Amino acid sequence: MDREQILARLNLLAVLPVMAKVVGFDEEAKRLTQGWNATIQFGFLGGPTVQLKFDDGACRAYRQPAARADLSFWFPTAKMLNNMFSGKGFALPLINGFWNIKLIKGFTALSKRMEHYLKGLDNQELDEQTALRVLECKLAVATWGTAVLAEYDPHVKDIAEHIPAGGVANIVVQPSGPNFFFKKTSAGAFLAGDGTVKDPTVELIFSSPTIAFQLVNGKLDAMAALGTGDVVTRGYVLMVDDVSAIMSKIERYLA
Amino acid sequence: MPSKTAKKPAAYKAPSFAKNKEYFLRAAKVIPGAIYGHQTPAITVPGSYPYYATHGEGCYYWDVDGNRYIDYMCAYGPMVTGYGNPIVEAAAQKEFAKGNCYNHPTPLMVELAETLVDQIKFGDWAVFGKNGGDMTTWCTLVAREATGRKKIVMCKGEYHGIGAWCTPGHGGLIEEDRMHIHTFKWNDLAGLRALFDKYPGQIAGVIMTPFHHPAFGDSEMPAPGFWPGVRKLCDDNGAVLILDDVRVGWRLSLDGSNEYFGFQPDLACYCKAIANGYPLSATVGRDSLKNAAANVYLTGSYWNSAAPMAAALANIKLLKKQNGPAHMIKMGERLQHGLVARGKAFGFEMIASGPGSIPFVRFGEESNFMRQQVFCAEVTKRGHFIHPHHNWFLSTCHTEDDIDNTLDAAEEAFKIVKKQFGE
Ligand SMILES: Cc1ncc(COP(=O)(O)O)c(C=O)c1O
Repeated sequence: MDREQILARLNLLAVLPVMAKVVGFDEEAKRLTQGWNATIQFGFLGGPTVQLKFDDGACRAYRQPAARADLSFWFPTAKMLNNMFSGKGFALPLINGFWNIKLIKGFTALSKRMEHYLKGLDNQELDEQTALRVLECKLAVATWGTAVLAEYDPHVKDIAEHIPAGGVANIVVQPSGPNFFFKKTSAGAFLAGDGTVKDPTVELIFSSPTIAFQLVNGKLDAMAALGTGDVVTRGYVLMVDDVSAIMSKIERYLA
Repeated sequence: MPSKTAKKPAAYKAPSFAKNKEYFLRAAKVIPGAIYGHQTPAITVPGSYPYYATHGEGCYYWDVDGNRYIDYMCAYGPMVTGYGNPIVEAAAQKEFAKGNCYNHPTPLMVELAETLVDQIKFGDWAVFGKNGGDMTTWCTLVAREATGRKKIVMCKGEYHGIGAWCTPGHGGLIEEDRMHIHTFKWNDLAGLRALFDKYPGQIAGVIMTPFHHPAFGDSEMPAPGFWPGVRKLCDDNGAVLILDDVRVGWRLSLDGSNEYFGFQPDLACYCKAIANGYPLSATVGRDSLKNAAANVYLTGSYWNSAAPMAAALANIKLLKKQNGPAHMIKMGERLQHGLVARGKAFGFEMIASGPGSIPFVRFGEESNFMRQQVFCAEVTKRGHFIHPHHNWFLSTCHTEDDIDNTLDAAEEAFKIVKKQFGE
C-alpha cells in the first residue's frame, strides 16, 4: 500500500473521528453544530467509509457506515481526500441525498476547531482543562493511528506481526485519564478505543498528563521515564515496545 | 499453605533505592535511555530493582545503596565461577600488569585456541571476539562465504545479538536488512524443511541455540529427533549448521551443549561462560570451513588482548576441576523444585522450564506476567535477584543454603501475590 493510501486511512480512521470529541467539549463546535441532524460520510475509492452523525450539538463517529448519509465527501483518489485534510482545497463532493451548502460551510468551520486542538495549540502554555483536551485528541489520533499503521503500513509489518493475537494494551493517564486501549484481535486485525479494558495484556501508565504530553509530542525518552517511574508498565511489556515503535512512525505521515 | 519446616525469616525491611535512582537521573541527562539494552530497568520492574552495582563476591553483589543480592542472573551469564574469583583474577591481573593490549596477540591466544579445539570435540580451529554478537554475525558471513549463498535461517524469537540481521529492536532497520533472513518455529522440523523446499540451493546456514530460551516464555528443550533432523536437513541441502552456544555454552557440558544433546554442528559460538566476566567470545569450527573462515575479515581494537584470554584459560581449568555444569544444574533444580513446591502450597501452579543451570520459573495460568512481576520484584527486594521475564543463571558459587534462603524469601513473596491477586 502506498503512502497516500496509508495517509488517507490515517485521516479517515484516526483523525476524523476526533471531530466527535471536539463537538463534545468545545463550546464553539457545539454552537456550530446546533440544529444539525445529519450524517456526513467520508471516503475514497477502495478505502474505508467513516461517518459522523450529528444530533443537534452532539456528534458520534462510526468507522463503518451505520446510517444512510445525508452528505457524502467521497473522492476518487486517496490523494484528493488527503488534500482536503491538509487544507489544500478540494472539488465539491458528490452529493448523496440533498444539497446542503450550509452543512458544507459549517463543516469547514468545524474542521478548523479540530485542527485547533490537534495542531493550533502546539508550543503554547495551556490551562489544565485545555491541556487535557489536547491530550485526549492527540492520544486518540496516536492510538487509532497505531492501529491503522499496524494494519496497513508494510514498513511496520514485522513489528505488527510480533504483537500477540488477542493482545490488548491499556494506555492510562493518571490521575483521571484520558485513557485508551489498543488491540490486536484474535483474527489479527488492529483497533483502538476510548477507555480501558479488563484483564489487559499490558498496561502503559503515565504518572501525569504532562508525561503523556511528552509522548504525543515525540519528546519522551521512554526508557528513562520508565526508570524514573514517570511511566510504569505492567504485564507483557514487549507489546509496549511494539506499539510505541509503530506509534512513533505516525509522525512521518501526519507531521 | 507455607511449609512447616521453613525457618521464620527475619523481619522484612523494604530496601532503599535512593542512590540507584539518583545515578539514573544523572544518567538520563547524558545517556540516551539512561541504561539501555538488556540491562534497562524497563524490562524488570522499575522501582523494585537496583539499577547500579558496585561490587560482587562469589554469587553475591551489592548495589549503590548497599543492598546485597544473591545473584540468579550472574550478569546475564558471564559470571560463572563467582564475582572476583581469586584464581581467575590472578591470571587476568598478571597480564594487565604486563601490558595486556599489544600490536600482536600473545602466545595465550594460541594456547586458548588449542584448549578449545581439545575441549570441543567437533572443532578443528578457533577464533576470538569480544561479544557473542561478534561471533554469531561473523558465523553467518562464514556460512555465506563457504556456500556462496545468501539466506540465513533462524528460529522465531531467538536472540543472536544486535546486528541488523537479528536485533529484536525496531529502530534504524530497513526492510533489506532481513531480506535474506527466514524463520521457523523451534522444534518444527517440517517448518525448516519447508524453507529448504521453498529456497532450494539458496540457504547458506541455519543458526540456532541448543534449546529454545526466549524472553517472556518458557524454555523448550529439543524434541526427540529434532537435532538429528536439523543436522540431516542441513547436510542434505549443503547448508552450514551454526550453534549459538553463547548463553548456554558450558552450563550444560564443558564439551559444548551439542554433546549434551548429541549432535555435531559445523560452527559453534561461545561467550558468556568463557572468562568469568572478562570480555571474550569464541567460535569453534570444522576443518572444512577453515578456508572460508580465513576469508571473512575478523578483528577489533581489543580482540586479541591478553588478560581476557588468561582469564579464560584459568576459568576453563577451574570449571573442569569443579565439575561446574553438574553443580549448577543441581543447584538450579533445587531452586526450580523448591519454587514449584512452595508455590503449590499457596495454590499457585508454577511452571519450571529449562535445565537447572539456566532455569526459568513462572506462574502458570497467566500469560501477561503480572503476578510474575510482583513476585520477582518482592523476591528481589528481599535480596535475591531474579528476573521476571528472562531465564536465570546459576554459578558454581551458589550453595544449597543460598537456594534455601531464596526459597524462604519466595514464600513471603507468594503470600503477597496471593493477597494482591487471589489464587
Ligand atoms: C543466545 C545468545 N546469542 C547471542 C547473544 C549476544 O551476545 P552479546 O550480547 O555478548 O553480543 C546473546 C546474549 O545474550 C545470547 O544469549
